[in-house]
Amino acid sequence: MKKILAVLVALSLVLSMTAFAAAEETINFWTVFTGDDGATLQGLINQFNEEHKGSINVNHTAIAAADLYTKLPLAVQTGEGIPDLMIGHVERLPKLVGDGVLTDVTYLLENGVDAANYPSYVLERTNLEGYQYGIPWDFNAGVTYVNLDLLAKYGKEAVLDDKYVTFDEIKEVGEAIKAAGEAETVKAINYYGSLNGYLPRYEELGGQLVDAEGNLTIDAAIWGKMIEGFRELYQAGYAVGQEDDASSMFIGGSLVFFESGTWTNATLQKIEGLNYAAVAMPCYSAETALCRSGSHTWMQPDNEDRTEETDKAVATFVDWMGAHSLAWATEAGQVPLYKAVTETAEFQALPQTFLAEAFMSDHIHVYTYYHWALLDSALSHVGKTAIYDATIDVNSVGAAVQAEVDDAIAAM
Amino acid sequence: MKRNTIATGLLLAFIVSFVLSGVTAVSTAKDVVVSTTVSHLASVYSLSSAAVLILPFIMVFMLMALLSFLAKQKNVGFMFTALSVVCYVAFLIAYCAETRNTSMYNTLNAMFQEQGLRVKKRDFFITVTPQWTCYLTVLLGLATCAVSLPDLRTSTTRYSLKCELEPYAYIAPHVLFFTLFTLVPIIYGVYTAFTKWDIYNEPVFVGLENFKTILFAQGNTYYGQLRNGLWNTVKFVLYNTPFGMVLPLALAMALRKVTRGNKFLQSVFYLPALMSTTTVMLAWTYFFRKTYGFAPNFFGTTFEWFAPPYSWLMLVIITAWWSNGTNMVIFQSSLASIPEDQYEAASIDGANAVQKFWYVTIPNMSYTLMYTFVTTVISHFNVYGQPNLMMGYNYEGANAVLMMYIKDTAFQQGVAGIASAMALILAAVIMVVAWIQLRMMMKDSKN
Amino acid sequence: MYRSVKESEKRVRIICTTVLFLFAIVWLIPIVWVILNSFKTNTEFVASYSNFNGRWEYLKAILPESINFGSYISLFTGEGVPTVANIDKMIINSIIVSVSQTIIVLVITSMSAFAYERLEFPIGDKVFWLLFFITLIPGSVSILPLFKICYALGWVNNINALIWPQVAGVMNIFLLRNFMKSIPKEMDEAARIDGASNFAIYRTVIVPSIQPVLMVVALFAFKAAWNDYLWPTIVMNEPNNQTLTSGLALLKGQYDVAQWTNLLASAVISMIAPFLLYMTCQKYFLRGISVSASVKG
Repeated sequence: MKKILAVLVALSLVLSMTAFAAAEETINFWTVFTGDDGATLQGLINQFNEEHKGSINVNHTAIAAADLYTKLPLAVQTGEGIPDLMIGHVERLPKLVGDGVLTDVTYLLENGVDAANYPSYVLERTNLEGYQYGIPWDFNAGVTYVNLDLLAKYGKEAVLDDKYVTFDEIKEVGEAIKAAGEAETVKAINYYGSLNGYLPRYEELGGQLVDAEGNLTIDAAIWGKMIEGFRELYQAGYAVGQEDDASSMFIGGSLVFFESGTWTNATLQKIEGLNYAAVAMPCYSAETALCRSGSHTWMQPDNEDRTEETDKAVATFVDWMGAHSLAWATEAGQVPLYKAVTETAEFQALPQTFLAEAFMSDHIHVYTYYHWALLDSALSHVGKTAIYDATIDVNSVGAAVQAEVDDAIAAM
Repeated sequence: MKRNTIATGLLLAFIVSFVLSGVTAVSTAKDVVVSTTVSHLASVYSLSSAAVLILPFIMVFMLMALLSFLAKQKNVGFMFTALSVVCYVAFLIAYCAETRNTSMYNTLNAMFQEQGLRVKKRDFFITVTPQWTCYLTVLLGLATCAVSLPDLRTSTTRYSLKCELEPYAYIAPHVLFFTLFTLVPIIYGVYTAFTKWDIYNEPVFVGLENFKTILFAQGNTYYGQLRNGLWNTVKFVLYNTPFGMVLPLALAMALRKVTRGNKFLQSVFYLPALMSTTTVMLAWTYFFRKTYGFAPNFFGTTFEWFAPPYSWLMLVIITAWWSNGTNMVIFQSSLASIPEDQYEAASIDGANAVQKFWYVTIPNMSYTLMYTFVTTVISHFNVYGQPNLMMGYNYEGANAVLMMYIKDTAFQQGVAGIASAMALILAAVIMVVAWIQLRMMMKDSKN
Repeated sequence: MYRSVKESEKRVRIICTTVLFLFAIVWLIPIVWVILNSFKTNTEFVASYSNFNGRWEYLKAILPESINFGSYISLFTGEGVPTVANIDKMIINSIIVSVSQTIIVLVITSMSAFAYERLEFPIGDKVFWLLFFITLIPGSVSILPLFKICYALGWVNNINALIWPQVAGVMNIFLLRNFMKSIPKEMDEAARIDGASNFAIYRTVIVPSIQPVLMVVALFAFKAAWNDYLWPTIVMNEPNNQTLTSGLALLKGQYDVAQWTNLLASAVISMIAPFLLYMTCQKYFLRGISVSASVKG
């Protein structure tokens, strides 16, 4: 009798498990997080899968950014292997929408994801022609790390009194280093270059990146002025050369201000004995200070075959991740944007929190431009060298970038 | 002979009929019927399904059949025609069995939308039927086969047929893989040089516009990139090829004189060739960086290695180190096959070491030297990894080679038409150089 | 006179050996540097190069304090690496792909070279040179169409996509043809008179004679398959399906900062397998490529 009962119980367990298995939703999820932060994200996903065992299973694939933006449109075009959900960069969103790769997330916002949980400014950025295409996950901003010990060594702690470091203050630090006779080995600042380094300063000086119609309008004179400022610091000997490894210099104690981004935080946290703080990127004055931030955004590729059940599961997942995104801040050193998380005391105590405040007071801009890929590419071709090479005319750089983007658009 | 001419004529008709054939696709939804015709060439262009991939093989077989008939090889022509007919029938069967054919989906969907109907992909079914021209094509193919049927009556003719056809069986596997995975992509890629293509949508034919931009539009970014890139590539080839030939040869010859430690030295000098691009770049970037690199700190160099002109020196060192192994083992194989008695005879004639090298070693290695010279130059023209990972576009693209611009333009920027055009120009340069080299060396070896 | 020739030969031998050994030491410096530094931790890496004066202290700075396998272990446990990736799976993929490709390449290139070089058929030579010149077109024009073809065959994310598309190289056939030219045709004739079929000639005459070159081709094919890092990243979506080299290239992550020793460890690991293969094959092709050690004198 007992044996029969045992068999019956076992049978029913097996049957119920298969029933659950049949009802389990699988979400195919692509992200751009192939590095250290990917490990943190995977930890969160594993936790979600545990809690939702039997009903939702999230299958996470991390793909390098360059490949992701090639594979995604191809997948949508051929209709095979389209992911159900992805996290990508907000600056790529307009072109993806324009190419018909993404679908709007209205369904998600009506079935589990509450727009009130996210800053409206960032939501606006992904609202095109009245439809919402993205839900923000985090801030992905340029940040300057400061070696506090080194700063104290030259007696310049006062620089950090207001939350912003200006170029004049950097010059002071450089001069202090020179006075101490260590200008050969210790540098004050490195140049991150690329869009984090250029766009906010360009805008701070009064330049406009994109005009009302969405065309790129680079003012060569203002751009030249900006390059001139960088060059000055370099020629005075306060800035790191093109080829040196700035991160090793910073960790090794021979660089005071290290321009980088929030993503570096995860690695810097692990270094023992490094006493550092994070501030916004250097600016020209504390009032006009601007910082460039990207945003990793939730997006959904266009897939007619996707069922409503899958969409509901996606909404549950997105909301859950937002609510649990504290780990993204503490372990990966990034800045999640879920309001409830940003208001906790734990988050406020982290070094990168200043970004959330700065953002509130309009000192952070999130840029999007339809042809972001072209701008990125043009800057990598012609943007850098004028800083380090005095023979190049500073005013030609902005014009060269503009010309390259224009030529590429004409050839498309 | 007359049969040959008739066969050629029928074959041409077969080919023409094939080009003009197509299939009809019909789709029904909610009592609305839409249909469209798709020619075979358009199907190939879409590269949409496995059945479509049979078509390139058919075209290659037809071409080979034509060449065979023109070369008066009737039996070979028969074989290829038969193959193409069989493949064509297989294609028709497979293609018409598919119900969810993506290549026609877009056109039919557009037609539905014109009629105000929105059909979901999963409710979309397409029936494909061959047109009458397809049947005509098959008939013409069969007729060609009948006309060129080989003579199987006697065992001698059967044997000579076997001798004629056997070689094709040996080269078939390679050529078939080559057709599908190399030829078709290259033809497609070459075609895109004459189009504007952003990779995701269909290419749009624009004729020679891309070439006009990169070759003649002074002041255009791409004009500058082509010039800068090509010039840097040529510089790379000129600086690196001598070291890529002389060093391996010297080491190969020197290693023959070493008895003790031969194995160890052999492994050491070959080892870099086993490493992948990223590994080599990693090792050497660390080697030259100021903070912790060996070159600045041990050798005490103060100049900037990553800046021109020293960046070229850096590239030469790295490339010589990395590519030495490949050529070295080839030279070693070749040196080992030179008979000792030739050296002895030279010694008896009173030749010294230099003369022995020039009059015994080099002539015996002529084919090998030709091979390595051609392949070394070609691989140097295709360089991408070293300059990209080490210097990138620093110093105004002083080390930017053409492959870097091509890859960036295609994948990062999405302007694939211009990228393909630049790649074609690079290919043209490589082909011309290779052809000149081969002519020179063929002439030499004939002497 | 006989004695002085022997002595001068000996002198040449000693000079060559010494020079080569010294050269070999310099040759190995970058690799040794990578290996030694991979045994440090990241903090130690930065600290060791922070203050030293002069070249001899620099040499001391290269040496790790202790052999720390931390960077290697982190590659296997996933710390600092996307935990969705498993190095053991990647290694298995690499082995499957490389071994399959090598075998396939050996078979089809030797058969093709035999046909082009030894069997008489009129269009043969023209076909070969046509193929040769077609392969001179840089591969970047064909990557995306090739990707579309793999999609059409249903091979995306499938290991077949890594094996088959890369076997149709022409350079290896070129190499084999050149070596076959040095095998006298009389051997073929002799076998044919004895009644051997073409395939028997291929099997008993040609293949044994070109064994050293076949070893070289095998090594080249294995190396090319193992080191290919671009194509697997394009055609495979999941890191689990990547090969070792492409998976480790992904390691660099979006923003690679302060992970020097991890990168160095990954470089060392990707060197190991081809090196092991080389060591096992070494005696086979040393037989072919080196003179039977007797130096005439």
